[in-house]
Amino acid sequence: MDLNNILSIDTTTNLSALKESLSNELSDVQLWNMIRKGDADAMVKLYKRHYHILYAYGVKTCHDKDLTKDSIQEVFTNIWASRSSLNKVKKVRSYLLQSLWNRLVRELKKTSKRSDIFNNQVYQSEQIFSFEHQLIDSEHNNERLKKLDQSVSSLSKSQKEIIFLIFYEGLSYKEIAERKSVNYQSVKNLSHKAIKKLREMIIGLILATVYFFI
Amino acid sequence: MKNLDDYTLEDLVQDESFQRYVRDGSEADQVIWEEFLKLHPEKEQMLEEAKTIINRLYAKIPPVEFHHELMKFRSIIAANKDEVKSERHTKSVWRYAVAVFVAAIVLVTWLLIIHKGSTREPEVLSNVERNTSKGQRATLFLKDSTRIKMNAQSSLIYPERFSDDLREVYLRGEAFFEVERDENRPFIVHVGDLDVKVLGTAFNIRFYPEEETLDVSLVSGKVEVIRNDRVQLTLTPNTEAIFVRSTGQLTKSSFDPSLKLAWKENVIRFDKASFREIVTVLERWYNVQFIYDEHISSAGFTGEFENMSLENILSGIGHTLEFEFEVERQQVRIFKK
Repeated sequence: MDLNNILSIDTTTNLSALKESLSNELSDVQLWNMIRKGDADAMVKLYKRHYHILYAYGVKTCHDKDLTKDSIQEVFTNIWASRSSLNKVKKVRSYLLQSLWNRLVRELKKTSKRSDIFNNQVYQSEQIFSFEHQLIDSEHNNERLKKLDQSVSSLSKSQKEIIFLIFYEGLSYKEIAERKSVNYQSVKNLSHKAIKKLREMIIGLILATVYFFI
Repeated sequence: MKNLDDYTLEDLVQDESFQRYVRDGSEADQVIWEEFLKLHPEKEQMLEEAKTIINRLYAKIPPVEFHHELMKFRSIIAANKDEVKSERHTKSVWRYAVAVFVAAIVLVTWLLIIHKGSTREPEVLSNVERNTSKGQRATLFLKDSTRIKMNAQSSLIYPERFSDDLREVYLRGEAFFEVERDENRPFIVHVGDLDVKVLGTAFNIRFYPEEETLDVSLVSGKVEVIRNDRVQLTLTPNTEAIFVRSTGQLTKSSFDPSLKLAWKENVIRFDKASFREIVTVLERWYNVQFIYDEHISSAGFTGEFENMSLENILSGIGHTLEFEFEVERQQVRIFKK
């Protein structure tokens, strides 16, 4: 083994250690319990940690950035305002997503905009697969959109769900297996297939877009 | 956990740290993945593909907007913390009596409102928010006689009335503070991950979320730079604290006031500035957008402009860095000579 090789191995290990140290911060549940005791710093930490995922979810769901921002602010402000009477929560991120969904549904029903997709009381994962608004407007888009729609619908319901659980709720295979009462290995297989499909879909779309402009 | 060396695309897109780096723009995670790419240049394509997938899965908020929301939230929390504080011993019987009297009035008013059948609103927080857009500057006078000059594209939140023992404000962007001395009421600026605590001084803070560092530059008096509730640095006049946001590194050094504070005298001053730096400053100052695809000479530019039009400044700089330009509405096109 030459020196270069040793050095690079050493550094990758260091990198892993550095990465590990980042995930060694207080867990969500620890922060939650600190918030219940009135710890403002814990509140800010939780906000910083989950803001982006909530934003991603909100915008994908209602396609309204300002409404999303206001609703996220309200979700967190409410948690802080009712900190002394908060219940224990197992999965903080899921709780936050659910709260945001509830708020968005309430607001959208008020303005009766897009109420069609909110008939379901349970919050939904389907919206994150709407890629339309990311495409630039052009007359020729329809063809590509149609293709994309087809490929999105070719993700099965369970594939969509697992992608949502992994990428939005941030659950591990083990947690998904517990929640869905299936075994670990089948969760792993399902997620592997779903991500592969998603990759093909997204990369395929990009290629199609590039091809179109050439 | 799987070794980073054996990472496949599937591992990468599911990695929390990688997601934070791409989706949240987390600076701490950015360090890791940039280092990873240096160690494994052969995985560049995989990394790019993973980024594409994550970018398609999530909608992203621009850093400026995120920091603005965060600042608003912190001010809301601070305003709601007070109920714990106010449970301390009352300083005099008179205060107590006044408090009871006020409470009685509030109660009566409240009962009257309830009686009228109006809905109960959650407590309204009396924070004031002041924003400047690109190309705009503003001077504020707070009720404690503190003077704040805000640079372009900045935002400040402060309470309508300061409490008896603390003056707290929240900043994003750049501002020059001249804080009225009050030994009994420290003045704290919450900015990014830092708190800047003073009694009465003049200092400049610069925190644009899209820039790498957060700078606190002291002109007179004394300030404490606090992070995670601990005093990290104490500044004396003509020194500044530079906080590198990705690594959390905080260092003290001296600074050139004529360069750092030029903006508040409406002077634009460059000292060996790169073309990129010049663009950032001018975009903010004149509310324009630069468009350039050619590589403009990266040699540093040094120069000073006072109350000059954008066109005059550009022809001055263009002469040195050898470019020509066209200004149309809010757009500046740069061509290589």
